[in-house]
Amino acid sequence: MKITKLEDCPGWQVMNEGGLDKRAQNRDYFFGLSPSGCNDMASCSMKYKFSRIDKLPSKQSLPLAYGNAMHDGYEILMNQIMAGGKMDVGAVPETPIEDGYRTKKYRPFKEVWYSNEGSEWTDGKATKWLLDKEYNRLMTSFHGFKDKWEGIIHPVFTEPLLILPVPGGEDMDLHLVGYIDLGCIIDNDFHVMDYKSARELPKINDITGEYKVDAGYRQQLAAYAAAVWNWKLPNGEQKCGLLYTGKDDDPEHIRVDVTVNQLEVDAYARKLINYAKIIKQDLFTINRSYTLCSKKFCSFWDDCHEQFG
Amino acid sequence: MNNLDKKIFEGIRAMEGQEETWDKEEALNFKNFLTSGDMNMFDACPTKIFYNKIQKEGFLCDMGFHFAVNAKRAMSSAMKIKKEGSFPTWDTVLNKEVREGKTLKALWEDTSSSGSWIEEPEYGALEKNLEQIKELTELFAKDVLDTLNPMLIDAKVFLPLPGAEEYNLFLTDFIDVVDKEGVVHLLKFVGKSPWKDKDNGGFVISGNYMQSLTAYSALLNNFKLPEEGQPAKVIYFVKTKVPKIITQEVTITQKQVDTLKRKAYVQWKIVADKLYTTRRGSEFCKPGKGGCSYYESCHVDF
Repeated sequence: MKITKLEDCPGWQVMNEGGLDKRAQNRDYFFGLSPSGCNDMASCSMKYKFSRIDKLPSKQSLPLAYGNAMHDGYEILMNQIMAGGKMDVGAVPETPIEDGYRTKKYRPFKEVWYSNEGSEWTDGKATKWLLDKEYNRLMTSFHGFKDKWEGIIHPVFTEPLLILPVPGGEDMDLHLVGYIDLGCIIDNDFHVMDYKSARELPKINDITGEYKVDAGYRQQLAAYAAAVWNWKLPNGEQKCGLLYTGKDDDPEHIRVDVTVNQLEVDAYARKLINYAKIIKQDLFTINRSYTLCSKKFCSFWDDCHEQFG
Repeated sequence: MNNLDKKIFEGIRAMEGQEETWDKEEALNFKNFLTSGDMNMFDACPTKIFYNKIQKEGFLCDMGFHFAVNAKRAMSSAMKIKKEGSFPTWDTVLNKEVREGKTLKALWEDTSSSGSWIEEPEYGALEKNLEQIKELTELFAKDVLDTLNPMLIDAKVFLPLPGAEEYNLFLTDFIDVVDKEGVVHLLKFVGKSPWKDKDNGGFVISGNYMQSLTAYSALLNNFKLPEEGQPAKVIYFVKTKVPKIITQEVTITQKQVDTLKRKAYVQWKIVADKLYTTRRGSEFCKPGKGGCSYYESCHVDF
């Protein structure tokens, strides 16, 4: 089966036939777990609880705000191509994007970015100086992205929501929920891609000379491939990739190819089921050994220390 | 709290009260127990607990682990000599019985030749390690031991975990040191000085270390801390070119002990009910040096 548009994806068809996106819109909630929720469960399950069950207010950090803006920018560029045009970086600042997380309210990209001014982020204040600096970095990144990938990456869909039941999780009404950064054609093959805005570029394997792929990222890609194909990959595998925009003021655009297989997809389903059982049974614990357990990077630091000492 | 007798510690008294129904030796072979080290391991990756405690696959030794195990034995040996009224020299430290009726020297030789290495040590590396331990032990004896009056050294304490009766679960640990003031101590061997904490002028203390000190405090006090909290110290033995020893004081609170109680129960339940998951992508999820002993098994099984 070839995927040339979102509607071709078996995962999208399952979601549509089951009316799952409409259930979500109507707040007729099922039990949904996303790859980022799974990351929280893996690193500190109490963070998951604070954020997604207790719904405590959370602050942004600079890497998070930058990453969100970068995703928005790339979504704009991909939409420009899907609308039949070319990437037009100059149009990005005035293109409307959602103002905040899935709010359905839209404002121009630049206006949304600068609306952060004065915000208290977990890692410091969002000053005009900092926002200017990061805005320039974003624009440089968009130009670099266009120079590197225009004509090579042919988008099929960008940032769609996919929701589908998790095999084996039916008794909990468990669903995988995810926004996939990009489905695209590269060299005539369909790829599932994820953007990575971390400042560090991937490391190179000394022996093979290839980029090392973080195992956590592999899992994330397995989840997106599962969502596209409704858990059954064609011929047992799916080509995926990571698009890095690392380095400080001179983003270097790197594509790291990853092929995920059916075993990884099945393992991800099992992992979701275990996390779901832990959540259902309220078996949350703090993990103060987690490397990002710090006031600088966790919104819930104060609440956590107040509650647990 | 001078002339403090070990019986004063509620945890020790409660443990000894267990002796008729609870065999100490059995406790350490019994599978229903957790140490703070186990809890730290779970935090790193829950599946490690499955391999270590359920499958009973041993750790593979690396140089850091080998160093830490033997350095801790050396410090225990030095403290025992001091407690007996002598000044510890490297020679007396090496030849003092520290555990299982064996001297540090014998234990060092056992661990050095065990063959279960994650990566074979380079030529001369073990000797270099021993030389560093000697330097740190002498520094410890000279600079720290004259003010540290150890009362309990490497003290094995185990107690039923309140709230975990359904699993007959015990919390257990070897408390590195309790001094005559009743302060619990954790000895850590690190490659560089701990990070400075900009907020309080002290050091940033790792979550693992706090977890160990909380377990020590819980065990020493049978889970009920004094109102003012339990005083605790981390002694960092810093293995820099010029070795140094840094001490950091903290106070463990009842709230932290209560959190640990719940956490130990939850961790055990997750393992017992087979709800554990792998933490692929963690910085320690890798084969070889600094990585995971169970990497190969895990990648076959999961």
